[in-house]
Amino acid sequence: MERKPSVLIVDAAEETREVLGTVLQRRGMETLWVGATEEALRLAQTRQPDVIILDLQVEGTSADQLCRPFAQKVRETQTPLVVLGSVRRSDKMVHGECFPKPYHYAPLIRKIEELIQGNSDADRPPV
Amino acid sequence: MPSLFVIRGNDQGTRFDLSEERMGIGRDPANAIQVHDSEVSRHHAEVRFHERRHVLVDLGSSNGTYVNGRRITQAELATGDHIQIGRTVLLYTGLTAETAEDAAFSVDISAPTPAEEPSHIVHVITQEEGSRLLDPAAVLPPDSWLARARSNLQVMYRTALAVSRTLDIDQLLQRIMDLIFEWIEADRGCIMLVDPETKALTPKVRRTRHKARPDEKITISRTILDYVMNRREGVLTSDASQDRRWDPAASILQAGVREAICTPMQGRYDVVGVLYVDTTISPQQILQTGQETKFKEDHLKLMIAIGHQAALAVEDTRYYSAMVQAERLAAIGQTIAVLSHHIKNILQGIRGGSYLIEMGLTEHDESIIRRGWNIVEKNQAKISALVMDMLTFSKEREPDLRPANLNQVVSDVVELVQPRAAEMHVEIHVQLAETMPEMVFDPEGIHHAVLNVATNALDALADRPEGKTGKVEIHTDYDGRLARVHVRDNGPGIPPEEIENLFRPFVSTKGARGTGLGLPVSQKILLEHGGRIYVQSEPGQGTCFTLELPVVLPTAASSQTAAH
Repeated sequence: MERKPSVLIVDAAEETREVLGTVLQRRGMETLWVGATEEALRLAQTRQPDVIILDLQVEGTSADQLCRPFAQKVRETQTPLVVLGSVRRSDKMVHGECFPKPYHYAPLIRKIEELIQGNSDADRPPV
Repeated sequence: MPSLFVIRGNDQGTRFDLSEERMGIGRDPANAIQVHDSEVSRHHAEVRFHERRHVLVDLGSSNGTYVNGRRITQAELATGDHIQIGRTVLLYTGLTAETAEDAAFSVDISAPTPAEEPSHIVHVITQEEGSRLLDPAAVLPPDSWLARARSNLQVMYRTALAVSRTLDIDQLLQRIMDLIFEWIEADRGCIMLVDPETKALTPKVRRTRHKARPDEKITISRTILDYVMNRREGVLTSDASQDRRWDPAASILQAGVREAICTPMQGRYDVVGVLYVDTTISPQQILQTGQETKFKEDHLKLMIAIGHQAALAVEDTRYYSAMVQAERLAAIGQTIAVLSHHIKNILQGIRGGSYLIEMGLTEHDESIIRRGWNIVEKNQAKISALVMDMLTFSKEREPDLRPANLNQVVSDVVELVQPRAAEMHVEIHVQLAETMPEMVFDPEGIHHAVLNVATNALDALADRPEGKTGKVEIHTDYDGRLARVHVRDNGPGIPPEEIENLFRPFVSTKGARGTGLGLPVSQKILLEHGGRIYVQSEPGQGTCFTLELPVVLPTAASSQTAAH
């Protein structure tokens, strides 16, 4: 039987967790939650999720500091990354998708599905 | 920490801390010091750290880099330097000098030991006596060298006093003018300042000696002004038409000027203006006194010195107002940033909730609608709390005093936070004072304050280690004079260095969760009641906030008013 697509969600606010969890599970995806980025990297290797979502709860320098090294390490795992919150434009995250807050859920869900489908074909340009 | 502080320009109020690494200055976002100024090049300049000093290097910018008004290609920075790039002015503050000794450790005040005294007082002079050294009344031959030197010193002493006593530029210039008129026999005088924006000289103070007609216009030769401004030199002119440098000097002739002194007000960074005095000597006066001049080189020298003193004061005053303005802008910016961040999070919550509701409606699934609705409700509560806090904080509000029961208010709050506590698996223990008479206070205000503190207690327990039981104890007591509400949590506690910032508005340690308004607002409410709020916290053990109200028992009259 085919494995369920899985989404790893990192450091999400309670409400984001509830909304994303409900919606993604309804769409037949498995969701994993972790609080810290170190734990997330470990899971990214052992569980090999199709998409990783990083929720930046505190914006500003610390978020950038947290996000940049994390994005670099995620890139090594070849897993698509979605960042919720704004990242300074000068930090080019190469493969990261960024949804500045307040974002709408519909395009976010579409993007996640798109990334899951395109995961096998990573070079496909974003729609 | 060395820093650059923007005191003029679009980024006014921004502070950039300087590290020991190279830091680029420019319009491009890749610069560590990004300046939003269209007259600044993309990579305009950079600050390098070399042998414990910061060096500013221009990177071939189109409009140049200026330090204290001088264009530079490379300059070592000193504390207080003004750096201008495009329309932006930055103030440099450097490292504390290495040589500065710690006064506190190296100076001892010794107790008097009568037995052996290594130093003794040789001479005593009182403050008054010291000032009397500069007293003009002391008898000296009027033309002696000493008399002139002393008189000059006295003028400078009084100038220094005059400029040190005000932060109002106009008042300051008036005083300077008074001083000049007292000491030099001028008929007319004026002080002009360079307008910081237009760079044009603008007359600020004008003075004529009573014998001159007060409505008479002072005409000052542009040639003299330009000379003084450009060369930064003071000039003494006598019968200007004979002096080739003032050719054509028709303006001086028309005004009938025989003698004039015009000196630059040279400040630390630039010429901020000019001092000007003139006098006309009639032929009769020359016959009477046998002297053709009133103004002497000494006068010129002293006017230059006075101009310098005044300029320093003008610069300080401007610099001070620019700092105040910049700090104010920075505070407004910080406030808006915190608020918009908080509102953004609330909006994000509402969007999540409504997305779930929409999904539930499409799929006819009431359980999802309910989950979405809960989220919307929670965020609605958050935004009303925020608005309440902002209103309470901003306006001068009279507490709505009426008889009420503090135990009741606390119970209401507990009921309100109970669901969230249950969700977080936090136990709430309530112990209400057995005796708690009805007192006069603003029940809504106190409700708000207790709620803020209780919410904080829950927030403190949000990230507790797994397996640790979260506990919030709320109890009230009454001793006839004071009534208190204690809210104690067993969270991580507050680090001592954060305690003093607790009641400062818009300082939140809760990141996305806090507005930084809760405690300042609670404190304001308590203070309005003549009460207080205080905190005891032990890192690792927990925190206890106490809200203390003075007891005001309702008199028969006021309870009747309340009943109506």
